[in-house]
Amino acid sequence: MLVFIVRRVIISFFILLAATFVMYLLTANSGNPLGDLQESRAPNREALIEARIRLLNLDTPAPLRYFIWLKGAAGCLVPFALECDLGQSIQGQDVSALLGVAFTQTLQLVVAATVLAMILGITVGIVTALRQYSGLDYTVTFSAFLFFSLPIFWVAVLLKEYGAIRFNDWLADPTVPITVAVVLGAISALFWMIVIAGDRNRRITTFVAAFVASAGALWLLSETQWFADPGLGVVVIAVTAVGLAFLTTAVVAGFTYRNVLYSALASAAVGIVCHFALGPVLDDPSSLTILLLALVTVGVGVGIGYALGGLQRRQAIQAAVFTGLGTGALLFLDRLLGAWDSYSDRVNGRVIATIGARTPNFEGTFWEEGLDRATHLVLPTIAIVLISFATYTRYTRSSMLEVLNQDYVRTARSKGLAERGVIVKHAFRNAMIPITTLMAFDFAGVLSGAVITENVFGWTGLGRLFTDSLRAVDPNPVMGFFLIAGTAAVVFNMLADIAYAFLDPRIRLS
Amino acid sequence: MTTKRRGMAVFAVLTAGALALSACGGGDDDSNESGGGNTESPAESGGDPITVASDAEFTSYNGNSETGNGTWNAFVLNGVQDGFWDYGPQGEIVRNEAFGTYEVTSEDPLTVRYTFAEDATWSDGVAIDCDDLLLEWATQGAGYETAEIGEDGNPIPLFRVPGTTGYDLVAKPTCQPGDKEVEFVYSEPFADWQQVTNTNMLPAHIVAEQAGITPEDLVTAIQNDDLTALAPVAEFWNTGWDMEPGALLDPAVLPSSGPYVIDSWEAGQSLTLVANENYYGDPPATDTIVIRFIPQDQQVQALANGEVDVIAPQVNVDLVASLEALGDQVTMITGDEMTWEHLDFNQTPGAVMADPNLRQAFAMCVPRQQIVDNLIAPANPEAVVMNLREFFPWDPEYDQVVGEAYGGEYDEPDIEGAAALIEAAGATGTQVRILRSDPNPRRADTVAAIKASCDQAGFEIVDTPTPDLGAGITDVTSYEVALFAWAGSGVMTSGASLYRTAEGQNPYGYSNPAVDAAWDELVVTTDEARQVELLTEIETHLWADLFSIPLYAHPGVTAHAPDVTGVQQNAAQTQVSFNMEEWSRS
Repeated sequence: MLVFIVRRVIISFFILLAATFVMYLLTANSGNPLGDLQESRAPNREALIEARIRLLNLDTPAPLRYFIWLKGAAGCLVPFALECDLGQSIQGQDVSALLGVAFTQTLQLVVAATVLAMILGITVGIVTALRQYSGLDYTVTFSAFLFFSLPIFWVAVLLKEYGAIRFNDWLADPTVPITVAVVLGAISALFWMIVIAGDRNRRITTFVAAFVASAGALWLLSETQWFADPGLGVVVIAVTAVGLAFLTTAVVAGFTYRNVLYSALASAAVGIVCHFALGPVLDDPSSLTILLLALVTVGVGVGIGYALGGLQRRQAIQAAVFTGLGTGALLFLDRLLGAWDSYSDRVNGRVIATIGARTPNFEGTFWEEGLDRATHLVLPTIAIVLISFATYTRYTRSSMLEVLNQDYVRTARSKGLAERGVIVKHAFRNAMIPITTLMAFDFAGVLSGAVITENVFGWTGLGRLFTDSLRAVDPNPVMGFFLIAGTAAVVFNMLADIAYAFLDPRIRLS
Repeated sequence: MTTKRRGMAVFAVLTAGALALSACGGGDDDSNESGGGNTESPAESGGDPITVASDAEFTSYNGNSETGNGTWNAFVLNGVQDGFWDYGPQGEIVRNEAFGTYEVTSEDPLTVRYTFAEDATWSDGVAIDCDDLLLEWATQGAGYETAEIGEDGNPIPLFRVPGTTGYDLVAKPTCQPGDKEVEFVYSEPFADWQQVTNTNMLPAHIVAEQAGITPEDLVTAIQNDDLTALAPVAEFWNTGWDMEPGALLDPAVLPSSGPYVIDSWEAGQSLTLVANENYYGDPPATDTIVIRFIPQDQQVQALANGEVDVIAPQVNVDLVASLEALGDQVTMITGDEMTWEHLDFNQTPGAVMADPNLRQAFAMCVPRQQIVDNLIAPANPEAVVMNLREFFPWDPEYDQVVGEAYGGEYDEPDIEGAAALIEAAGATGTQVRILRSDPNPRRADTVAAIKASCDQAGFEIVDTPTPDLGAGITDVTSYEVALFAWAGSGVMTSGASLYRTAEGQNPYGYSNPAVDAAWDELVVTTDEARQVELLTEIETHLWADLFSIPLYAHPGVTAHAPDVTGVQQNAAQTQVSFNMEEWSRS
């Protein structure tokens, strides 16, 4: 293993080195860095051109200029001994400082979206694999390919137009006309009908039930002006928390042994009690408080599971912890929505943002500031999730199907194992092995930013830094970007290989 | 399976039901709201902040240095630093009487007396006076050099400034620390004497403090040309005011002489200016201006969503259409930019266009009016064909000069006349390569329009796009006609290097002794009437010789929220933020 890693690191280093050289030449020759000045008629035009030539060493031919850059960049390899100098941008700023700012922005934007896309994509992929060739499968396949083939800049602009501008207009008087409620109800009814499937009678029952429930709910929400001041309320929290308890139990252990279900339900109950008990603590908490509360939740979950679990102690602890965290998330969401009203007032009713990471100079309670972040993140996150959704569902689905057809799955079934055990323990774990590669690639991609999304939503992340610099024919920031993106690609590939060997004993490294 | 499906149906109904129930949950948090409302800043006289979009991040407080000299800094510094004058929205010179006054006291030698207003002070209370102007002279007019020799073989200047035009003619001003009056004496007359001092004057007392000396020592050091004492001064002046994104320097180092001070800066997001409490001029109409960094193509939607109040992106037809589609949600101001498009002839010996008859034939077949109607009018309905090179159509002298310099013979294409000239020269079918920058759809369309017209007359127009226009123009074998734009600076003498024989920006081989002589005189002429006379003479020659064909001024668009007043379309390079102190919200 060690030999493998060392060899990979050495090879990767030389690959990166060669790649930086090629990249530098490509960037340096991609245009004319003096273009804007050459069309200027300012009296100091010559001096400006002279200054830029000096700043960027433009009088040195590009292949040689690369070595000037390399000399500075080499300092970054030896963190304390040498000075890390990635050069200056065309505006005379240190590239390392620019990278620092861009990197934080990119992480904020892309990490949540990528994790969300993974969770959603993998879940949906597994469900479609289990319901192969069902209406649901076809619908998901169709929409996954549809989203995958949409150009993201177009989706993003549409999202801004309808998700932000029109939505905010609508929020000024948030009523749902009856016709819209009926149409949306019908769509939701169709969805549930396809998901639940069954014979004709069942389909009709599902359709009618779902239609009445959805359209009615919309109408009710509209009538009570819920959209102007949304929130969950204790009833919804309680019902959802109990549902969550059943769901985690179903996944973790099944309902054969009641101990697990009881601990999950107990955990949910504690959460609901906290809704009332924690009132003052949650009025304006700090991030640290929230983190501590999450830790306490885990601790309480472990305690409940340990006490009630009996012979299924391990599963009981898992179910209790997951239910607890889920209920906690509900409480969090409830509080966040509680700030909606005051937040909306402070941004003049333009709740959903189209640009940037937050409202300039916005200061408020933890919840208002959180909501401010959330309303800025929601659209770019949707855009990123939509696009990467397809890869995850398709890969997971095919991988899962392949595993389900393996001999050992048939053996497991023929031994009389419960379907839940077969899927969760035998099929799912093995199906995840190829997905790790995909995840590694995706995380490497995360670190190089989401070029188009960042541009459209005005985030000054790495992708934006890259495109802006390329447009200005400014090699130094491009190289800084390339170092991060290239290193991430190389490192995560290596991690994927190592993880592979770890997950699948049949694979040997070196 | 059946039980499972029933389970899911129940779940579906539950979910929908839950949504419905949550309707009741909506109102439960009214009691919390007051907590959030309290943090709101109390309403001030200046009203809500006004947010304006800029497409590039701020980098330096020193907009006069080599690294800080850029539109992205000027955008912010417009509100923070004042000077004796500034450009108005049409590139005209506007005196800033609140800051100080200036007047010519002698024509020979040209002497200009600058008087600072008595009450003009920096926001930290220090008076704005002769010290500041003397430092400006030291950085640009003194020609101080370090002992080091640069790669080009010349000594490296002590203060790294982007140009010293005009200042290099000014003798060292004599003044005592704290003087409110100082004279500039020129070694020879200078036409653009009004534009010599910078529009953004920098605080000398801060520079002195950062260099570890007193302002009095700084004045003495300059008076004595004491380079050792000035070395730390130059070190701070050159880069000390440059900032990494978001890393605002100590506010004490960034005093303001304008209506606003820099308050805060969030990297990649926004920069906030608040009213300068110690401002000696009229207080700004709005207390807080927020400058948000937003890419140009995203600014319209940000305006539509109320996230910014003022935008001035570069124009294309789609942009105007999308702004128009917003109807009365936004106010759109169309107008011009001081950037003008023109066709230059390569007249080097042996080149096709060295033949004046062919230049004339080309000028006769270019459909100038059609180009303006089709490509510019959609963005700026007021757009007109430009008939001069050194005046813009909105300049007061324009009509008079056009009347004298240009006979109107190339207003409409004359295909037959052009064909006759081409035939007489035996040049039918001659290739005319039109060099243009790439990518640039508008120039591609322009060339297509010229081709459609001039091919009929007997030329063969070849569109020659190049990514590197600068290098392309220098290579005079690569084109017959060059299509590009000059960004006008408002400085009169900048044209000298375009039209005089063998000047740096005249690679076309154009040479006319009369034009050379007129320019030589113009550069040292301070009398405005005589300046116009000389420019008229120059324009007449340029038309007669067909040096180039001017086409149009680029269209410009500014859009703002309807409740914001005072925003103007700015044709000059000083950008939309030039009058931010006049913006207010009704």
